[in-house]
Amino acid sequence: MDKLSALMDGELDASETRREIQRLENEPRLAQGWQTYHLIRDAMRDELDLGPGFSRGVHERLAQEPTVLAPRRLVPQPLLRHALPIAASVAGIAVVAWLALSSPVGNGPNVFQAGVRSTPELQQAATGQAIPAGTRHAGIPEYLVAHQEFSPSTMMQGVVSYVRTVASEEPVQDR
Amino acid sequence: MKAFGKTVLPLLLLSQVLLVCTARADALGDAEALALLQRIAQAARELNYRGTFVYQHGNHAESSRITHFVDPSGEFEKLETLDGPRREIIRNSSEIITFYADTGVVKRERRTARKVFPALLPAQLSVLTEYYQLRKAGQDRIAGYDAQALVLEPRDRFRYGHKLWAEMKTGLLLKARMLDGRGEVMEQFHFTEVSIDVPLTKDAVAPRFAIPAAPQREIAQTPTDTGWAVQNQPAGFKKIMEMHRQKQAGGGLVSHLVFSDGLAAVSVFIEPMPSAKIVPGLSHQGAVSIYTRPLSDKLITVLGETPPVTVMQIANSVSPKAR
Repeated sequence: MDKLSALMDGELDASETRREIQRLENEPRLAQGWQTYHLIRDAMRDELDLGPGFSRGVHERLAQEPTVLAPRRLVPQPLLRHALPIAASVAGIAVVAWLALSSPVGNGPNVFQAGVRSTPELQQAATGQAIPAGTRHAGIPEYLVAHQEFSPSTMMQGVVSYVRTVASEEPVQDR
Repeated sequence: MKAFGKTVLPLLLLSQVLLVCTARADALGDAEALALLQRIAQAARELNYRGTFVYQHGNHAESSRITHFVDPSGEFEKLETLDGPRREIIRNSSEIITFYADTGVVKRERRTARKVFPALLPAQLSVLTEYYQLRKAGQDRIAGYDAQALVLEPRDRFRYGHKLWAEMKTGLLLKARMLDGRGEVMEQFHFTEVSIDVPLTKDAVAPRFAIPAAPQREIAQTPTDTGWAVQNQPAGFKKIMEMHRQKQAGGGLVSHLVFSDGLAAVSVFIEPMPSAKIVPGLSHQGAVSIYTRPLSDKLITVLGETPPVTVMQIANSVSPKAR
């Protein structure tokens, strides 16, 4: 896991980076950690759009499910230990509480209705399901075409390089 | 340590000197490199040509037929796949139309209004030589033509290496290969047969399918400030385009930012989180790395013909512009 944060910060050398990306593709648990790190970092950078009712919603939810934040559960989680000092603001504390709520130990079925918009992959992470690397979304063929116009390869090859956009899809584990 | 300093270190230094010398032997000056690349781009744009090429990626190899026709009104291109499902791409100065014969779907994509591609302007090329080492390689025979090979080696791990084979007389690119840091071929385009500078008529680039009426787009795809920024992209990647685009099939507005180092481009797409289930992560299409991640209530998709680390680092540093 510590390698993950180094990868995020671009601190690994080429071979380590390749190894870590390979592991990310193959180990669902790591992929989940990767998502969580980003959630924490987005929260630290104030990039989570939590909405005004978020912390109130979390507190109400906490009142209903008091056992979720049992200290015994919080202490052994290194992610939360690192996140706590950062969480000086109310929103920050709320995020930590939300992480605790969303961890696999306390997944009540409606946990995510606590005022923050839930994303499917977060729900997936919450229920401990594997996150396969690289299941692509339906917009990607369109994006490939849009991108191709700006690729220098199109400048040098014309429409030849557009074959990428209609070529057979590669299985994720190809490399 | 002493022994190391006495014996190994001088050897290392010597090998460095030798490396520099051999590199210098066929290294290209900026001006010559610029001329070569511009010649390739010019040939692709200005010649009539028609041929068959093989596109290799991963364990796949697929052949396609390409026709390029130019007249005073502009460029007209047509690509037809010959292996696998029949697909056809028509490209002219205003749009790109893709026909999927297997499903009967036709997709139209309007091209963005702009002038000559900025990445090949001289200002960008000095950036190019900063991040790639350019050298001439040997001559080869490709599809019956003599070709000059050009190698562009990346100076860091954020880009792939390129080897280009240009036809000697016209400069037309006959073969192009992208390599990763281990020298493995990520993808390759290779003409097996091509007629260059042949007389063609416009019929040769006419689609073999019916084109439906163009969809009405509310948003002109012209450069705008999207309110999004990338703070920490790998060195050398400069923003070359920023705009809004309308997603097809009645979709919402998508912010599109493009970064390029002159040889590779990376696109960033930011859209509202779709209701359909999206699984974030990394995937590939040929040499194109694709990385998707959520950011708050947005979905970020970053793709480009670069190693995965480049699209991931860019995806991880997308944020709303400070106001």
